[in-house]
Amino acid sequence: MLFDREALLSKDLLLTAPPAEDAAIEPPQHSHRVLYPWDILLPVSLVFWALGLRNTDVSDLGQYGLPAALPLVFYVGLALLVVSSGWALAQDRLSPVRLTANLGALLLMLYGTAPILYGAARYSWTYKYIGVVQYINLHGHLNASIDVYQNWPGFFALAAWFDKVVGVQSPLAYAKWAQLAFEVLTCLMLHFVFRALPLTDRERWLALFLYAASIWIAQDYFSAQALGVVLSAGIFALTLTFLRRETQAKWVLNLRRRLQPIGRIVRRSPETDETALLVNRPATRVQEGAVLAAIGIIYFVLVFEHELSPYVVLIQLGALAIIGEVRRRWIALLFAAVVFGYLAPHFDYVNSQIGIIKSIGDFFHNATPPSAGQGSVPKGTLFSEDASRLLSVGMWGLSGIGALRRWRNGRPTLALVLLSYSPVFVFFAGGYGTEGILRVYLFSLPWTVCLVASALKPPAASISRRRSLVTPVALAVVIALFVPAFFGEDAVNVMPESDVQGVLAFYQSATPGTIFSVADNAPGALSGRYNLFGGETLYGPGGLISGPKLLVTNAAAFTQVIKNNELKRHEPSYVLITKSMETYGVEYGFLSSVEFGDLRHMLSGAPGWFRAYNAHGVTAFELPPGG
Amino acid sequence: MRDNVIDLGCVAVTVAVTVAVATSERGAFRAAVGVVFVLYVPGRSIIANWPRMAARSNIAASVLFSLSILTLFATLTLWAGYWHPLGLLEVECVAVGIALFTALLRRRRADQARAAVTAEAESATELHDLDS
Repeated sequence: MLFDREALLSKDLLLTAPPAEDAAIEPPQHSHRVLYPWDILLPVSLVFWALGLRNTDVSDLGQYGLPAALPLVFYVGLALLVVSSGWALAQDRLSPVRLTANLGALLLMLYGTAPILYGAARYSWTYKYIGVVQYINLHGHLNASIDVYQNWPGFFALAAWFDKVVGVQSPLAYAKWAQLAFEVLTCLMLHFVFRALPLTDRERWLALFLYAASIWIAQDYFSAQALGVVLSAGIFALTLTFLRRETQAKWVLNLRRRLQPIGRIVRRSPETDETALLVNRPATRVQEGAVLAAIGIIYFVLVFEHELSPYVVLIQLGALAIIGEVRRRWIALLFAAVVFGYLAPHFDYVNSQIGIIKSIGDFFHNATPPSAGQGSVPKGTLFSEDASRLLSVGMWGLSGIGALRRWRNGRPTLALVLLSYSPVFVFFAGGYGTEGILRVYLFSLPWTVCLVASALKPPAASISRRRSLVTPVALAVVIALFVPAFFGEDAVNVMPESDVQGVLAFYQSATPGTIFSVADNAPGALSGRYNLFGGETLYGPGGLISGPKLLVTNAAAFTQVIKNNELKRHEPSYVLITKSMETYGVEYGFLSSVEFGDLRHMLSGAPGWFRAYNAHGVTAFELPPGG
Repeated sequence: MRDNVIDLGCVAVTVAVTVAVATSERGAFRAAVGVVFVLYVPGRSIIANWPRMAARSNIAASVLFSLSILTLFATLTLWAGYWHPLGLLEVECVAVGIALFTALLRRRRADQARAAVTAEAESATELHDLDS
């Protein structure tokens, strides 16, 4: 027998799945010390990290973004934390307190760095979410014809309500901390989920560390998607904890029986049934009903909270239902009824906005990764893209090895494989363009890291000192790729606080009209009046003006372009120029600082135009209706 | 004991939020108790009455239920055209308070019942010893 079933049942209330191989050779437990000399590494790493932040100048980030601006002492702090975490993961007896402290420090270093260094939330697209929250605060109702967000209002309603409770005027007060907060919440939920998975404790903790260090795609900013990830993980936590079946579906068992001859050739050890130990049947029908009701309510909240998340959850849960991993398989049908029932009345609008029907079956387009483009892309951006691709491919590749390793060792694998790879079905009808692959990575990662942890199979240092080094080395590699992937484009992604204040003041005071942004990189639409303004971009990717003639000195031709693209003839048009736009234009080489100066100079003297706003480094030129 | 302390702490947070909002306090105190309330307290009031769930996960399940319920109620009031965030907060605070006190009472009764059973068993053992 590989493990003491009775001992596991009584000791850990089924929370701890039996390890596949290590249990047999787990060393005897020594007396438990409260502190070890190595524990000093954690506080020291935090001190180095804090010193690094103190000595970082972010006033002029170059093309390699924040990583190039961070001093060596910052990286020393990060490296010490990796060693500390690796040591904590290599202990004979894992200490949840020590591991939680290390994980918390890792989250703080990776996701707390930006809000400490920058005055405002990163990414220009964060601010449109703030605009919707402010719309609710301003009007006290929704208008479903404005945009897709007002049709999926859960997150915005919660944020608007939260603002009133904590007494702030706008999410601008805390939005920059959203990435740290959502990652902490996600890791908390994943800790709950992972206890319901057939993993060893060491694998569970390693998976958590890997998740925290590899979620580079930055979908955790102040947005509905970020809350969607937390709720999705929660739904799986409840489902896998309380609705797990003791055996899989008959057809899966039959298939396994037929494949046994192949299995005998490649398998190293007899099949173990770790999953059976995780089954936690509610005591009564009432209790099971309560669990089902809770899952149903949370899923319903997810349905009106975010447009995509409930579909991915449905795909993943459907896959688990098909293989019989969960009891009450009809819950997948119920979920489908709820999510499509909600979509039906909104379908026409959503289809007109993001083209759902057009995207159906367009697998390869939906699977295309985002790219900065073919033009003049900064080397730093290309480096950041390479790092993110390597990290994604590496995680998926290692998860494949982990799946194979688990299967060869006779450990339950199918459910984890389906959870990891089933989000690719989003590609069949995503309507998310090049963001589809990012969403797939996002929803795949919580399960992918479990398989990666199985691939690395971390042992205790007392079993194999050399193999226990695999954990800190892997973590170091992942973090080394994460840092450029996550911070590498910060020269453009950082929104100066002055821009935020300037654009907000402009939105609050300007007469409704069409805003022509010089480049598509500014904290726009951040006011509750955002719906009164149309938006166009003049230069750069997707801009109205391209080619050799940039019209930065020809006022008549420039004005003609504006008039041709006015969204409402009886309203004024504005040309908005901010520092973040200038940084973007210069970094990507489509508009130089000199050309920005020429544009300002031209509009200052152009017939019909006048300077409507000029403060905080933000300038808005206005062309009155019929001007 | 631990559960009672947590629940009493949650009651204290609920009262603190109510007072901070009622007095229009605009400082770090309101932000701190507001964040704790939003992330934990409503969910805890459910978990406190659901021991089987609490045995599985106390913090994560509480956070999950808090975020879900608060999102649900905020959106429902918005859809219903009854957007009164602070009115909603008052209702939630009252509901949370009732749920937490119910949990405290249930636990107290369960403890008393357990103590009574233990005392009965002890006296039965003593009688048995006397008989023998």
